[in-house]
Amino acid sequence: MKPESLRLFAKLMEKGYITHEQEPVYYEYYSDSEIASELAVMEQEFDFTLYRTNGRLYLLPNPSNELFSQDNSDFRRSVGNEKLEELYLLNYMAVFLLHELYGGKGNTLQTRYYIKESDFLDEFTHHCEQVHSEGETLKNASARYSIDFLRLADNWLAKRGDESNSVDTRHGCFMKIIRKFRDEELLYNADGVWKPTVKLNDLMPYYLAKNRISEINSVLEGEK
Amino acid sequence: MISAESKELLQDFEKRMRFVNLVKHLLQRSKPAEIRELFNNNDDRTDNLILMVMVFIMDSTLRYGERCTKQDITAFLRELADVYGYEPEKASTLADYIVTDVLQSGGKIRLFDTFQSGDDVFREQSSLILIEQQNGSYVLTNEAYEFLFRTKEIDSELDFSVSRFKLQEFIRRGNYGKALRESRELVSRVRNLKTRMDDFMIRCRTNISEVSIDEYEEIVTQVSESFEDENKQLSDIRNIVSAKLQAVTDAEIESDENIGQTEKKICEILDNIDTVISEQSGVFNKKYTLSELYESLMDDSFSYSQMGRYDIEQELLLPMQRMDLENTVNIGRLFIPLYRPVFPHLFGLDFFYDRQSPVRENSRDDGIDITGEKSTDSADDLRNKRYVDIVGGLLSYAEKNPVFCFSSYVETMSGEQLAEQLQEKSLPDVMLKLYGFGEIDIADWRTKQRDIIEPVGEFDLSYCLGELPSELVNMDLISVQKLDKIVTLSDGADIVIKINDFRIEVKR
Repeated sequence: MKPESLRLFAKLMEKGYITHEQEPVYYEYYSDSEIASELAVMEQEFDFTLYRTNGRLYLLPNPSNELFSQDNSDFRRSVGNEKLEELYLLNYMAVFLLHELYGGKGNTLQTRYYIKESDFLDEFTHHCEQVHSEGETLKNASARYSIDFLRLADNWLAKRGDESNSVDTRHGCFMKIIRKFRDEELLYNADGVWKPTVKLNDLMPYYLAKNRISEINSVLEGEK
Repeated sequence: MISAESKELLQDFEKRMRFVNLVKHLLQRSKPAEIRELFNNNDDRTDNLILMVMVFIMDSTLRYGERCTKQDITAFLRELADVYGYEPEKASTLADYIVTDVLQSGGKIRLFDTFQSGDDVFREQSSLILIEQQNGSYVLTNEAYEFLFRTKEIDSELDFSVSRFKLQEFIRRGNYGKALRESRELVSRVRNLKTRMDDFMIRCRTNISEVSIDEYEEIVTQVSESFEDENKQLSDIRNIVSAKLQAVTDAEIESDENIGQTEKKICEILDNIDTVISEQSGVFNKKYTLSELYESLMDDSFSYSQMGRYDIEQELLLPMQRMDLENTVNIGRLFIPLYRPVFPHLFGLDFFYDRQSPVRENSRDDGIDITGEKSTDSADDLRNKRYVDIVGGLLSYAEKNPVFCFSSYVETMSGEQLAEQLQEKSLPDVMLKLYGFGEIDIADWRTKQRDIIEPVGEFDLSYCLGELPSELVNMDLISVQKLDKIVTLSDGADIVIKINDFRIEVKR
């Protein structure tokens, strides 16, 4: 193994990516086919994916990665050790937020350029209200929604609307997610609204690539 | 009568026709049945094969010292048998046909009526492709070589230099008419290169799979070569031309018209050279845009976007709406690719910043009986022990009572026990913390490897569980729920604490 391969790997692990501008030497290492193939072996064995785009090279752990993914206990810690129901809600909200930003069909991927808290809370509340009323009226709601999801919607609707930071409030839940995304360099605050960072825009084409569907299904089906 | 302008553009027309005549030579050939059978009457395929043989002969003969014999050609044809679908044994028949009948026209001289630009008349132009030498080897004629060079798509670097060289020579000899033509030729060549680049870029953008890296490299190499050498040469020529122009204007005028014409020609030559120099620079700069474009297209993002995207709603939101709570435990994994990778750290910085007890300005009043018989445990040790006792007490009670209320449990405690556990509000604190966990996955705790790190005074469930005998910690799940009833805890002395009752359920 060439020492440059290991150096590149270590460098990538620092921030999760390197850029052509700031780490040109390391970036050029990847152009060497021998180093690139050694890194491909690492990708296989350590369960991550290297993704090059826009003058940056990203190291992205796969969802099944146990070695250096931030696993659920980390996430739990970072959102304050909430109960499973809350976690379900927060995760669902986070996916909903991604959908708000990148729900584009066809050629346009990005549907929004920023997220405003009030707009988002309104949308999500409206969504939960719809779910709730469908749950009440539709006879075959159980085909569409699980009981736990109906409770998730009710859970949300029961939350307070004040500005405290606890998860008992809508604002609190929103901020928990935003803070996590901000810490992971996915969103940043621009004059009171939350905008996707270069990193998030770079990663979305990878994140939404069709060939990842089986990986995603494994997570959703609860396989480890 | 052809106008002067038309005459200009038809200059050297016979050269162009030579090219066409050679193609006609190949196409207008004898087509015996036995040969046609070999290709299932596919004339197009036969055309391909003939040209391949020509390329083979060219390649063989250009190598120094190599001759090309009919045997060599036969061997080559045998190689191609699979590709074309004829039997390898037929190779020598084919060789005869191609060499003799087609390329040598069966010995006849091929003549084509061609327009001669010099005289404006048609004359028979001969087309000869292959010559058999005395030693039995074959060589292509010059016109055949030229033809083959030109059938490669690349405007070879050679052409540009040749034009530039000719331009130089004509100027030296004062042949401004021809020099002018050459300069125009140069302009068209550089524009051609520019068009090829533009075309390449457009094709890149529309369908990257159509473009090969070889083509890219070709263009890029061509451009850089073209720029570096040529730019200097052209600048030199430009200087010579300006000097000549100067000389002409300074010279004694013998005949006005001629000088006027010459001057005009020279001016135009100068203009053309300038155009070429500037267009060359433009092409050279474009090369960087081209490289960037190609590189960005070769990015992973491009190939990922080519394979299509899934819809978040379809693949993520809807399935999540159908999940049972217990299956949602690992949903957080969905976000792993978006988060920073972290090396597994057992001794990371955040460990120290996690669950810290609040910093106090004054030291705690620990109430340690330093005069007592007990060993001088530190305050922290005592606290740790107390927490372990609290948890231990709960779990022992749970052995016989899988579901119970906290209040019921408290009633079973002795006054002493209760008093001790109420020290520093430990018992209610622990209950609130356990309630905060909600569901405690003991099975999961058992499977995870832990470092035994002694807590420094705060409640650490993991540590407590670790300190208890394993028989006590053999359940799967403990769930703690708040009840509306209020319970009063008292040590019988000065500590009175009111707290919600809890419902504790142990699942094995």
